[in-house]
Amino acid sequence: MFRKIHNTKGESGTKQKKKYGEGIIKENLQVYALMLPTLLLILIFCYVPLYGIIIAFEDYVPGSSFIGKDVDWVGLKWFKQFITGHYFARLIKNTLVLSILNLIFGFTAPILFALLLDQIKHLKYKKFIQTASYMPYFISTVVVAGMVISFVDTDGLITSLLSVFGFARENYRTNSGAFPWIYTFTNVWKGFGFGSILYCSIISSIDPGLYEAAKLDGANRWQQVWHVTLPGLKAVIAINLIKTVGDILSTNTDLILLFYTPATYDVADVIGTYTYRLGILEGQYSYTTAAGVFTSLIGFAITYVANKISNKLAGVGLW
Amino acid sequence: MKNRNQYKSKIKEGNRAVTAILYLLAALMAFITVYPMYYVLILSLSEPQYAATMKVYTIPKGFNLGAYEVLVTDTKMWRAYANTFLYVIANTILMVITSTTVAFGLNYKKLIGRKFLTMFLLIPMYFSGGMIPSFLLIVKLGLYDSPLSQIIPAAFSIWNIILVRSYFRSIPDSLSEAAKIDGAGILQILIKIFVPLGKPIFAVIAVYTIVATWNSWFKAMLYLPHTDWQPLQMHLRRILVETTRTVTQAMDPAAAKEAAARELSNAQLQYAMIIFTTLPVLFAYPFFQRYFVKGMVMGSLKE
Amino acid sequence: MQKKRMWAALLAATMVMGSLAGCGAKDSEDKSTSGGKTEVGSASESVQEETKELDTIKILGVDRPGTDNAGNTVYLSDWVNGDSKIWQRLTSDLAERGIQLELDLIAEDQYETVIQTQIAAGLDCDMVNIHGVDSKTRMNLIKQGVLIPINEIWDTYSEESTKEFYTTGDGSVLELNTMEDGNIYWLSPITIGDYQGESWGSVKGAMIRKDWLDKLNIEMPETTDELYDALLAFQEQDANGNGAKDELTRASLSSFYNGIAQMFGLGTDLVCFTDYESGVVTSPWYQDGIKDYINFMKKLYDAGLLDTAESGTENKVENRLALICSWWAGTYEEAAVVVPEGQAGANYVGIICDSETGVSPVVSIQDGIQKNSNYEVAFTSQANKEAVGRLLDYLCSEEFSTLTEYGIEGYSYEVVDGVKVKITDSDISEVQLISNLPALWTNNAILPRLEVVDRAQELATVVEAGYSVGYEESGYSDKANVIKDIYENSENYVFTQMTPSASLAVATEDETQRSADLRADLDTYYKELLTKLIMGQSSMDDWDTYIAEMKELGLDELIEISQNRYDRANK
Repeated sequence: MFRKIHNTKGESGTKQKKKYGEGIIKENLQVYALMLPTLLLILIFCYVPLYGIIIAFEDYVPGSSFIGKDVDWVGLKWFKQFITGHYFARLIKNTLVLSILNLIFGFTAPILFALLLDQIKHLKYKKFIQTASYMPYFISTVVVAGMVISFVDTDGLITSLLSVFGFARENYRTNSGAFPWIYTFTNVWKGFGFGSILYCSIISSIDPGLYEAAKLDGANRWQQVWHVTLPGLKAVIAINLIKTVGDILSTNTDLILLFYTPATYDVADVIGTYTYRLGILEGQYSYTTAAGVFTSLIGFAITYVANKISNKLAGVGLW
Repeated sequence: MKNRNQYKSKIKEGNRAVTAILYLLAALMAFITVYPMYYVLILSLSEPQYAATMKVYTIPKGFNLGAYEVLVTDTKMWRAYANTFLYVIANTILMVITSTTVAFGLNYKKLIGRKFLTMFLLIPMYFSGGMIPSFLLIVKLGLYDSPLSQIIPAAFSIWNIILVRSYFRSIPDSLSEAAKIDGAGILQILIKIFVPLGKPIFAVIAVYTIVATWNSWFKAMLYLPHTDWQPLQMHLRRILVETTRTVTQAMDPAAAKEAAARELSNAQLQYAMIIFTTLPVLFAYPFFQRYFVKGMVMGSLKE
Repeated sequence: MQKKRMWAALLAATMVMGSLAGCGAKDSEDKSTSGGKTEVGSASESVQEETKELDTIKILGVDRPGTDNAGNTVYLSDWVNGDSKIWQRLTSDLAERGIQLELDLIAEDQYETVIQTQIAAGLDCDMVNIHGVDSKTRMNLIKQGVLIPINEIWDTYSEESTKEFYTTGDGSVLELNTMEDGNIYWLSPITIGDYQGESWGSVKGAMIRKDWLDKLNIEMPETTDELYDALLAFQEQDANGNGAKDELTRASLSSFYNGIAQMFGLGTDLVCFTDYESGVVTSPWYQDGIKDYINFMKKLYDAGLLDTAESGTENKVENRLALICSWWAGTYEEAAVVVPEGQAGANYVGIICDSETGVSPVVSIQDGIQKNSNYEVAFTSQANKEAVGRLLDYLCSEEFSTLTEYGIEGYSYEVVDGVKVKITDSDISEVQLISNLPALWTNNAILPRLEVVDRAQELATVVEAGYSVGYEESGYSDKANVIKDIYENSENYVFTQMTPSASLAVATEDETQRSADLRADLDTYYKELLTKLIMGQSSMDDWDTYIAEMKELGLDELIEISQNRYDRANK
């Protein structure tokens, strides 16, 4: 039945063309009229300020103009400085490692959790779990970081727990090996409940008839998840995945800034934290903008490619 | 309704042991997510010096409602509360409208200029002009120091448009076609078919927007230099930032002394503030959960 | 169902209460309740009617908070909009000079963002706190003529005594703010310390729990080896008596300013002076004591004596910190330590140990007349220069300094035997505040502070603070004596300047850019290296490689820049 929906879609596309050809312009006008206010907002608030990117190619100081005769053009100086910087390779490596860990755990956790919730049929219990799961999302990053730092301290809650399993009693905050895991776990823990909202809503919109049909075919619990629920989530998983992959060069900078110490710089210093330190030293508006443009370009390119692949393989994409 | 019950009874037939494990697993997940909130709660109730140690794990050490007293009598906080409510309500309504209309347009099969439009939406997801040009724009538009600066620029989200659009895709075209044959126009198709069917995704967008607005402070930091119209999170952040600015950073004795004093007096306050500012929004989710119940969408389809 | 109703009720309740507060705020919106734009006229209104029109100076600054004894946070705007007598005195003082202030006050946490963005949009004020504005932006503002030379104003519009104050008097420390064009564009706060006629600054460095030493019958350590033994003994003999080996030393692993590094003669920053007097700039990495220092820290770390949390209140509050780095004349660190019931309070006393390596330890100290670098105020081209000239007269007057530090005689202080004594047992919030802090308009708010500290008086206050926490007889006299010895027997000590950058001439545009470029990587490198060496994750055997790497990252160039700046300031 699921497949059938998709099929009708394809057919109807061609059918429509023949039937309503004359009204296309008129309908388009109506559709655009609906979209216009929002598109204008996007144009004003997203596109108008875009000229700011230009400062990546000049030596900008607040108070001077962005374009004009007194602009100090430096070309690709900042990009060169960033890419040939002493720590460039390490920054990219650390950023990628943390992002990939996030992709493996942070991306999948909300999906698995939504699937788990779907198995819980006791409504009140389900509501309670669901509400509970998104609580951490509301605790300010500053407090979350303070809490985790206290938990992984030499005599903290988690350290004590780990020591039962034979781990060393130490301050795990200063342990380079532990950092990526602490960071990833904190991120996942903070976000999985909130992230699962979308999946829960999509699962709820899957036609119950599909499950009925699957059961008649003798599908067990896992087969139902595999053959009905997951296909139903396919589209939203795909677009989320594309977005996550596109964000591969951005990390939760706020959290890292609160977590890291010079002892863990070697694994924790990422593009975001590095440009932050640059920024507080001397403004460095142009340099940090250049670093931002660099990550944006890569993110944009990755998204573009990922979307192409997804459209080809799964038939769904961001656009 | 009947349909749902029938379906519920059937799925229960699964392996009991597995069901039990799944229920336990869910309980465990709930524990690790509820505990931190509980932890914040007991810290907020403990004597300030214990709150400062953060080593309070089970029940409050000592009992002190001082922080809550300070909060309840803080008129600035109540004003910030009201501001946040205003922003939440306005933004949620606007967000659902803007996301729906554009998503509907993108979903329209014979849209002219779709390629251009998708690119138009995609670019701002990755590129922004930075803080200063946005600021200059807000000043030029006369929104600086005005509550509208918290509403108008936050009235849309490209990501939400994409989400709604992807949801609309799963709505069978046959429905729109049937409506068209009945003589429905574009607007009627949107209102009669997509709006009722889109409830679950609207609920998601609403929850997203409520939470995002509730948690947002950066726009206020940039565009609202005075506290009159600032939202709750600016108020909370003020307390948190003051607390975390460490004593060692102070460059002269007086500043160090001041920082040390604030560090301690705010130790408990920050936790009370979190409890106080989080409670209302925690209830937003259960409120919208009813839109996530299975069978609802298909039920409305049959209407 | 129940839940939903509760939620609705809660929502309604919060909204009603919120809107009530909102209405309350509305009434006074024109005058703003919360640090908005505020015309300061209340006190000066009557004056205004009688005398000539007052010149308005519009100030963009920080709405600085302070905490009174009841734990309430009071903001400068509360003073301005409320009935603060101290603020009223300030406005009437200014009105006498024909000036009234118009304030635009911004919350402290937001100020940096607001000032940066407003500079980009164009400043609209006469006077501005430029805290958080980077030097490149400042130079640009000068280039565009937004900021005006203050030296020209005091030359032309101020009284002769004001001019003297800034050119030959105590205010001449501001010459360090001189830009390349020979002008001064911003005022810094100034602290003038005076110990029996000599000028002395504040000391900051390592402080040890003297009460623990006494409890365990350990002499005050005089060498770093003795210090190590004492710190170890604290743990082994459970100085805090909680049954755990948790008595720790808080000395930052990644910084040279932790008190212990100074025992090995090291400067306080990546770039520092070897010799305070000769002004030769170097880096701790090139100093003799560096390896011994790292080995000592490593020894502390390996023995589990270092507090790896480095910051945060937990360990301090839990009575675990044996050694900290702080202001020697401060008594606020102790206030945060919770000791077991019935015991005397904590007592941190300044400590300097010889390192037995032939390098003499250094005492890090502020200048006797210190140009503080925590904020600056500047004037813009829209300002009425003549009015600014009169404001400067006031800012360097004793009247202003006394009002800022002590408030009003008979209200917040009394004069006993020619010494000003603050009233500490008042019920009035602002009197409580000023008994602890300077008036809310200084310290990074709107006006530069001119602090005159009687160091002898300061030491008496230190001793006094001990009486109420369990040292009925001696007070904190140990604490005070260590500082007194420095003042009186200074020939026995070697000094280092606490903030090396404070005595450097303002950097040129090129120097600023170059330093910023270099420091980003150098700071990352040295902090990480220092930490890893102490934690034993990097080997001391590769020393030459590390130094070579730092040279490659531009350490020498950075030193050279600072040397040039120093020479310019002291030519």
